[in-house]
Amino acid sequence: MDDKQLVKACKKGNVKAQKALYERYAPKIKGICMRYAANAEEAEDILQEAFIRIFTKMDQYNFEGPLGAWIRRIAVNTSAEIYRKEKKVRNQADIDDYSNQFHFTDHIIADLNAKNLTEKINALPDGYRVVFNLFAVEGYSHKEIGEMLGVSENTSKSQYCRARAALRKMIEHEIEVFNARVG
Amino acid sequence: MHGLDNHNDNGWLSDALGEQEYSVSGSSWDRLSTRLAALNRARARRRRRKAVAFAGITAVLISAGSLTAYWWNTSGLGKGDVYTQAETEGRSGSNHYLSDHKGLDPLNPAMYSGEPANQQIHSTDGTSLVEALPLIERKITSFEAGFAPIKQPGSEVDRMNGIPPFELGDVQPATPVSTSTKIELPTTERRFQTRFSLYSRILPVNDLSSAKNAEVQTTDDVEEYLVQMPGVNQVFSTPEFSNPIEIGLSVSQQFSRRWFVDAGASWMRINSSSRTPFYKGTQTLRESVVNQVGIHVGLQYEFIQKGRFRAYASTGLSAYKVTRVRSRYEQYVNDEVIHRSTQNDQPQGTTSFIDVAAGASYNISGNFDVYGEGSIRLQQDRLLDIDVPDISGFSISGFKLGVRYTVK
Repeated sequence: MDDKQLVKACKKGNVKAQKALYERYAPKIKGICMRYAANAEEAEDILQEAFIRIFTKMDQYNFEGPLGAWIRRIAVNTSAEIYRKEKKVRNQADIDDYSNQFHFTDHIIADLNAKNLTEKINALPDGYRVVFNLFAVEGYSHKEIGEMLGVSENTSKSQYCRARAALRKMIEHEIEVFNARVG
Repeated sequence: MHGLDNHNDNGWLSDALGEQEYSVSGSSWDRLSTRLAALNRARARRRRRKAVAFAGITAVLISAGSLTAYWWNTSGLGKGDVYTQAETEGRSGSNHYLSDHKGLDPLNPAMYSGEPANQQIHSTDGTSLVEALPLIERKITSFEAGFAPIKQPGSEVDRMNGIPPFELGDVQPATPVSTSTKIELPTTERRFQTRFSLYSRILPVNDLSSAKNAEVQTTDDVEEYLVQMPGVNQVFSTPEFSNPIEIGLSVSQQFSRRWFVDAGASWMRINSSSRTPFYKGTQTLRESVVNQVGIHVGLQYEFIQKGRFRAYASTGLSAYKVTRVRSRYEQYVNDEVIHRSTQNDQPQGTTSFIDVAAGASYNISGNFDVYGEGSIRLQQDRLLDIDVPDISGFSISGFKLGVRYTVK
């Protein structure tokens, strides 16, 4: 059964189709949820909430664009909305403090595998984590992130800077520990 | 501010993290399906509440409209009461009140003779007053004609009304009456109709695809056993309904010109089929015949009464009780029947409805009418605890065809 047939069946409330859709997309969506959540339990809650919205808003999907992208967008929006409701984004920081301090061009973190990187992202404070994901992974602009999270554009930028700084610090620390063991 | 406003150096991050997959726990779908089922039930409840509220408001509006129409139509009939003694005495000086009515001749000498008026007063077309009065107001059961002392002929008021003066000698004036004379008139009986109706209701069966999420409470041992097994905490089935038949008898009693009160009983039968999948290749087919009996009471207002044709609106309450559910079970494993059984389920609870209907009847001969009625049936309460006669299987709209005998 392809996506189109699945969607049609889901729109009619077919439980089997819903289960098939869930089994097809839940692992990918959980990957998204894991990046936005602090831990696996929180990720599971976001996953549940995202799929509730997917099934209840299924009528709005009109087969424009791939289903996976539509589901992914709902999952990201759900994560952002949950985060916004909990008001975890800190107030605007002084962006100037972070200007020109952080450069990913050396791709230090590129050496890490995806799972290791996700663990580090999970370890970030909530605000950093969400903004980092939305900007660096999902590709939203700071203006869009500000609207999604109910914060200013500058707050989004500052959160992103802090996130990068924190990630860099964590990775550098890990490298130091590794070198100390080897050396 | 490098990297803050563009995504150029983050493309690899998106690639690395964007398509990451994590395994989902086995209980995750169970949790989700339970929540979805609860959501669907809540939605269904909201829909029902809205429907009931709509029915209630519609019923109130119909009742209010009907009552208004009734009062409007009958407001003129009360005029007869105006001609009570008080007003009669107030107007009888010129005897005009009689000339207001249907050609009654105020100049009729008998009016002044002091004789009982119900025998001697005649209208200009020869109709006696007794015959004419029902035309004025049927509800009048007594008529008090007050004759105050008569003015002298040719009074100012008479002249103004074009009444020629009496010529003394032509007519002997009546003896002045100082007290009113009460004329007893025969009571005009309004014959209210009693109607007996035999009808069949057609209830379209809904497409239940939207109700497939509904959690089904199991009733048979097999399902109960399976529900207790690890990993099976819910059993879903998809009931399908067919061949609904409802036959009823009702009695209507007229209590005013346009209003009827209606009560009756009906019997309904419907086939139900549900297929419940469990494990791989294992499923149970249950085919049932459901019998229910119902009663209803309601009010009917005929807003068109023209010749043989009548049109009406009605509202009322009905309740149905499942009396018998006979089911046949077949258990399949990979399309092979491994077990067959029959079972008579216990009678179930009752379901009540608000009914709002509009219909029309046509008199075919004598006392017989045929009638058709479209109705909206809104669920008020549901006490059923089995899926078989799940009322969500029926359309809220239905159509009734019947024949009616009127005792005139």
